[in-house]
Amino acid sequence: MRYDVVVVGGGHAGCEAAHAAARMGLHTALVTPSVGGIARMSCNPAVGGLAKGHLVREIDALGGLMGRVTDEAGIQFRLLNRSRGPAVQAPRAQCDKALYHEVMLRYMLATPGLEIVEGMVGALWIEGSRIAGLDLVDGRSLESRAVVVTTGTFLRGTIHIGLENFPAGRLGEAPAIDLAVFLESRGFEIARLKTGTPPRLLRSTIDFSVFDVQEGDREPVPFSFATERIKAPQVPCHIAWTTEKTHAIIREGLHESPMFTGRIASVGPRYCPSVEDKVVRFADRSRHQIFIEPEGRTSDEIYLNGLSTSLPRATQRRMIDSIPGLADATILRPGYAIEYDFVQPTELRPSLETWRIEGLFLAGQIDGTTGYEEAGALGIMGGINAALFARGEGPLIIARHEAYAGVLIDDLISRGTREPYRMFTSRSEHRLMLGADSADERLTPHGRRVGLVDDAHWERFKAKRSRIERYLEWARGAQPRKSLKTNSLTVESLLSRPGETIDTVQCATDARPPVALSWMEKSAIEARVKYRGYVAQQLREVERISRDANRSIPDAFDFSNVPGLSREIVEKLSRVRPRTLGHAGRISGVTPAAISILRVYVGRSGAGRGAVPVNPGS
Amino acid sequence: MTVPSRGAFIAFPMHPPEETIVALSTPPGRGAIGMIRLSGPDALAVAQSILKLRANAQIEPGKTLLATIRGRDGEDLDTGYVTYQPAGRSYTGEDVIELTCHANPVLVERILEELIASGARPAERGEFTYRAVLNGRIDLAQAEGVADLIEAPTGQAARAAREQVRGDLSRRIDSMREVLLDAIGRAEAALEFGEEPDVATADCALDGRIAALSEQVEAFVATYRRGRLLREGATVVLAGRPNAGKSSLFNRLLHTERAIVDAKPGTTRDFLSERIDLDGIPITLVDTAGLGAAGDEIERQGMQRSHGQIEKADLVVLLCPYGDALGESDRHLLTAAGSKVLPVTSKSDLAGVNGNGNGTGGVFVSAKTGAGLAELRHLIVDALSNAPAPTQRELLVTNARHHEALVACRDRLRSARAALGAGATEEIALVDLYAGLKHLEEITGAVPMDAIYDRIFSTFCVGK
Repeated sequence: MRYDVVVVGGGHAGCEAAHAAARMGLHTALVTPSVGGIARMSCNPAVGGLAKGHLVREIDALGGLMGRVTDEAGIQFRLLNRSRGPAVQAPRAQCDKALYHEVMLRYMLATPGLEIVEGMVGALWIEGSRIAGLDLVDGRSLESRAVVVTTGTFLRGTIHIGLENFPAGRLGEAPAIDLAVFLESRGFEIARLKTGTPPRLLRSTIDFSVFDVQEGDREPVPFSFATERIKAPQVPCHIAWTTEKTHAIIREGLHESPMFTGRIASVGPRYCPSVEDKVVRFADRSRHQIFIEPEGRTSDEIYLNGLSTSLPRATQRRMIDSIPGLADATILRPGYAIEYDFVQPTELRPSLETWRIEGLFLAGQIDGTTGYEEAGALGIMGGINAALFARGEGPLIIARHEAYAGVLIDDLISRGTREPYRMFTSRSEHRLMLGADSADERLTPHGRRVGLVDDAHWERFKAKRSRIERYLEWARGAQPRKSLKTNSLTVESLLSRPGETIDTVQCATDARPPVALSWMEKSAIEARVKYRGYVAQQLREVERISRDANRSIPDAFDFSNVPGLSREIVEKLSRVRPRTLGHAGRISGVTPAAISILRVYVGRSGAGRGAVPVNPGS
Repeated sequence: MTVPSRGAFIAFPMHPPEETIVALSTPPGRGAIGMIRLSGPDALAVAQSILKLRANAQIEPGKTLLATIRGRDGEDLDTGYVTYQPAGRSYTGEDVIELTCHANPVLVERILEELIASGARPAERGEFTYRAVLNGRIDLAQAEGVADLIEAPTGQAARAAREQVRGDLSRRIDSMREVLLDAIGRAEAALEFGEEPDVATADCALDGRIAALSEQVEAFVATYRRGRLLREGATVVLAGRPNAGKSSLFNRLLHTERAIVDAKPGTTRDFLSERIDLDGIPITLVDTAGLGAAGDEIERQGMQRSHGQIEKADLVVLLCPYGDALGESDRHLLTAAGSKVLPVTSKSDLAGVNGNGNGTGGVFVSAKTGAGLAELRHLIVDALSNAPAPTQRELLVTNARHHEALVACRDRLRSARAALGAGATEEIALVDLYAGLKHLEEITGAVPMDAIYDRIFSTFCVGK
């Protein structure tokens, strides 16, 4: 079969990639070992949170699915950081895992031009330095000039439970070994990462009466700009605590821990530590919190958020028995650690296409990230760029000041990673400009331009934008009530003060705004008014830097011919192949001095005159 | 007087460190000993190519050996000592060879030629120190200290530079950076992991931490007035009517009979200028022709020059002899340049005892007996640094670049405090705090964002 784009993997990255490419009008295949594995939430049942919720909004703004699916599959929604400014508030939702899979599958099946192909990839075909298609292990062949690989943790995955270990991509599923071997044979820099997951318990065997209860928000804030209201009823989560006895059991079991005995040498995410890690590193804490999260509205399975572990099964049993409310609870699946291969993302161009093989894109956890949201963001960008590539058009590259997705990709391809990369709002130097509620203002026009945002989405966006503009125009003219003796002459300037919101300023004026605003619209307006001074300052800085940073470095530029660069820096630059001076400057270990030298030589080559250190062989 | 500032070595990173560099490290000219230094991966091989050691002798790390220096044509050029510091343990962080020979410019030139022919390249000014920075042996501030130490005009300036080389300044900056990192890390933890019990129960408030740091930075910035004086020095002009005792005081402060002194008014026709070390501060002291009614054209021109010197001066010491009332020229000077005039009553020996004031006021000094001189020195230094001398030895900011960065940091901290004071939440204050952090890091050349995450994850037990 012949396709425009083939996506390998049906996880959170693969679904976004395949959907984006197909929506852009490309004949697309999604290859997955099993349709039942589409958009599985392999770890916790939650989507969103700080920076991650931002990413979901960005995916949604571009025309992706994660936000819409979460809104349909969510069973408890909470907006985090309500007491703080709009830039650092983010939605988070517990999802029904089975429903999440079902809803995503429904969207995929309803996408015209998208075929789901069940199968394992055997080999990729390469012609010269270009990809031409791939073979499945069952002998079928898929022809395509653009392939997006999104294999997550499946690349040469090894599961560890205590001192036993075995190859697997997820518990009960086979790892992708051929692909790992192939990438290695083509010279890709491959390294190993680790992650872990907690045991799952049978709901009916848990005593919920002893737990603290955490309710969702009364008025849930949706993820998608398209969702007007979350209609489904909310379910509570429960909180349990470990005890000193739990900690003693863990300490006794450390000699059988694959991590503490050195069997696992690869690096795991620091923000998702295993419980044994927490007990060892924070020995002074007398207890640790565990969220008792239902895997679904009707599911019998309970996820113990905070109890990720790779201790032996018997130790896990004793550990769980020591936690009030969980004694004698049935363990459906043990916790485990998984080690997997990832490709150092410095192998990637900003479009997520590999430098080594034209037409081959890598997206999702294979790029060294952790988290559904990071995977989804990489997936949609990989899908869009594979589609643009298939169309013969230039890539869509999102700038750092436009979106966390831009920060994510730029960080990865410039610096590579040594631990699973998770997004934080502080990774952006323009945090105040990247509020979750304004993701559409920054990204929907991009999505529209590449053909991913459909007419309905675009009209909705334009209507929202115009409501915001009309409100702001009104607020610039409307005056607070004189009796309030405020120093603010207009509603807008009153709103700019700390603590004021659109609702509070409304109480301070007799004027009536010309439009009714949604929650997200209010938040977007508040961000714009409150951060105006800072954002203006940051934009000037962005402009100043971009004038210099946007000076492009030709693809064939030979860094080893630039005099004055150390061998180490030449090596780094040659590997990462920065496309601009700004990109070069963000590569770790590349000094400002090296950049000032580069500036001289790039300047010459930009002028198109001789003396360009271009390698004749490249 | 101005010492070349802003470390010149930052300006020429044009040569790859794979090259081995060589230079005469002692001053050029004739002398008993000259020292030639080689640094780089081939330092040892290059040196060996022109050295003939005694039988069985071998160049070893940290050992000094006698060796014959021999040209390519086999001619013995000199006998000298060779020392080898291996990479990682040397000043530059690379293999370093130090070769001492007799300091004859012709001989040194010949040896350098031989070394260059064997593969070394002439070093540029400051390149050894530049490499030390590149290789992480010292940071930027320390390297700047090296340049200052070489140029230091007084003992105290040398001591300040030495402290900078030793890393005292870097440590002070690092400790401020630590405080800021801690504050930022806590605020970030509160923003990103506010839900985690470990973070929710911790003290993550910015106000107190930023206020304390802000005071520290302010105080450090304030030392620059004195630090700059120490490094760059100042010009002090002695002025007054003819025969006020300027030249006597000038000589006294110089400890020599530099100026001709005579009871006859108007002996000094032109100004004289000399460098002195005044309580550790490099001062250019200027003796001028007396001001008043000009007797002839030469005196008129002399006075014109005096006025020129007064204009350029950082401080004018206005002398009025004991028993005299202020003259018209004195009053004129006080009005025109009052803020930088230090009035002094000279010839206090005429009074017998100090105390009874007259028209000038100010300190009483006698060039003849030396009375009041110590006090005058203090007053000059205090007036120049615009602050009383510190009671104990303190670390000073001496470098304009450091001062600029500290001021920028201080302004950002002020702005963060103002925002917090007005009720803004962390994400707003953090914009200023990151900018402030960057300014601190400019001083030592430290970097990255990872420091924040390291801090969060080592301080708090977060994550599920």
